[in-house]
Amino acid sequence: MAKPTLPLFRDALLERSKALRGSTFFFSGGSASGLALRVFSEAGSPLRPVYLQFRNFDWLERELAISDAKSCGFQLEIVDFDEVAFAAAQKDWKELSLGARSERLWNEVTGLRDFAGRQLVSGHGFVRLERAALAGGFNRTHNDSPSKELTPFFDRLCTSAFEADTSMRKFFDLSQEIPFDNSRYWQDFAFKKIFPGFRERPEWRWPSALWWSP
Amino acid sequence: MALAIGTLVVAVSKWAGIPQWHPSHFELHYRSSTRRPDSFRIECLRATEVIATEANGLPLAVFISGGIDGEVVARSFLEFGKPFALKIFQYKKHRPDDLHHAHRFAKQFGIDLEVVPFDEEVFFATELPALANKYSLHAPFAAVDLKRMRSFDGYSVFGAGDIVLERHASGTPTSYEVGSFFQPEAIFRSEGGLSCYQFFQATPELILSFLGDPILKHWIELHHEFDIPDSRTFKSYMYRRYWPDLVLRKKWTGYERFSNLYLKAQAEIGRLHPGFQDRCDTPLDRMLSELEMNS
Repeated sequence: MAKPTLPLFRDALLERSKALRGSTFFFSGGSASGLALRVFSEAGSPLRPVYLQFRNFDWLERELAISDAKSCGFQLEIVDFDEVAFAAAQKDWKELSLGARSERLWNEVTGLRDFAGRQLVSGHGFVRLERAALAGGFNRTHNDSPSKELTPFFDRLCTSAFEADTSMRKFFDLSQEIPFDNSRYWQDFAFKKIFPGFRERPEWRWPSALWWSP
Repeated sequence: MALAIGTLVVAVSKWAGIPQWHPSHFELHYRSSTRRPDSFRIECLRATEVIATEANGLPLAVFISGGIDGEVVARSFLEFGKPFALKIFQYKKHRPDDLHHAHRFAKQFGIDLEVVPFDEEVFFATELPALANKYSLHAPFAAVDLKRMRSFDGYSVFGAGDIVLERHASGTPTSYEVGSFFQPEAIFRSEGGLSCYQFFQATPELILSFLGDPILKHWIELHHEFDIPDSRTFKSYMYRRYWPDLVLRKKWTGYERFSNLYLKAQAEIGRLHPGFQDRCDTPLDRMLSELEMNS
């Protein structure tokens, strides 16, 4: 049987947004969700973006979220969430790994009454390429959804198409000389090349609640 | 040293007939160099020697913010073997990841990190306007950094002056700017103090070692195609090549930590000195202005 042809990254994303039209999207203001919002906009797919405003929210990311939603023609819903109180109420929080903290926090969020009955999507699911310790090549790190209730926008087809994109080919070439430890820095520039309205982000990190112990 | 903001203009020529930008030469308007530069890491070590000579026995302090530049400065002093105090101003709105990296670095090398609490809200409201007036400050961070210098009785060193090439605001595709900001150090020296604010521009050879680095050349080749506004990311990887265990950060100036407070302070200085905006036209400044307009 002939191997199916991999779509171009841009086409794969536009199709994905059509499949998820009308869903509620947790928009962090970060890179992956910023790209997703622009894709929905370009595809003309309706969307309800939600910005979850943590008690220790990052001002710059919040501004980016508001600005991106506006420029993409979406009305951004801002929902407050007190991650400090949530973490303090968890007796075993200090013993949990970052992944486990994330899972517990997102299960709480998706279970909030406001979100019941909605199809919930987030910018999770993007494959990051991490340099392998020994072989000098790259391993895939798949950032799975932290909650079963949360559908990742980036499915396997999207990320396979991204890896095959010419911008990422350039990344592999450069990585022979530049000690990239992962593709995180480079992918924002690649996104911008494919979706010119996309704005690269200053940094990536976990919500502050996950860093801190109460 | 002139009491003014300065820029080093780097001219990059295009090789005829080749559809990519290749730096055939850099033209530095700076004091002259008497020798060929060595590698960036060795030039960092030599810069620490120049600084220690000028300090002439005064106690040394390296002020870090939790960013990558300050860590490279501190690592250079460690390698040089010169004792120094490691200090950080802890702002009210300090970024958790900045503090995390500052403490991680200090712990990794067994250095005592002195944390100095600093309330930027009070400072911007009470001290900034007078300082901005007195010294015609061009940006709020100059006042904060002057405050940091004055807080230490000795010779202070800062990881500013990192060589970030930016596409020239005029849009000329063949020229770039190397950010340079002498104001806090110049004011402090006029008061009789000693400080090296821009470690990465301490010697011409240190600048040249950076500009000749192959990783930076990749930025020059690729920035048009990928619309990469400045060389900051490539700079981090260049550092990483010399210090393989360096943990990379991805942030711009660090002053975004003050969030809207910084913008307000900047607007206040802008009101006092209408010309300042032209001289603080970094990609971050442009983005913050755009966000302010949209929000």
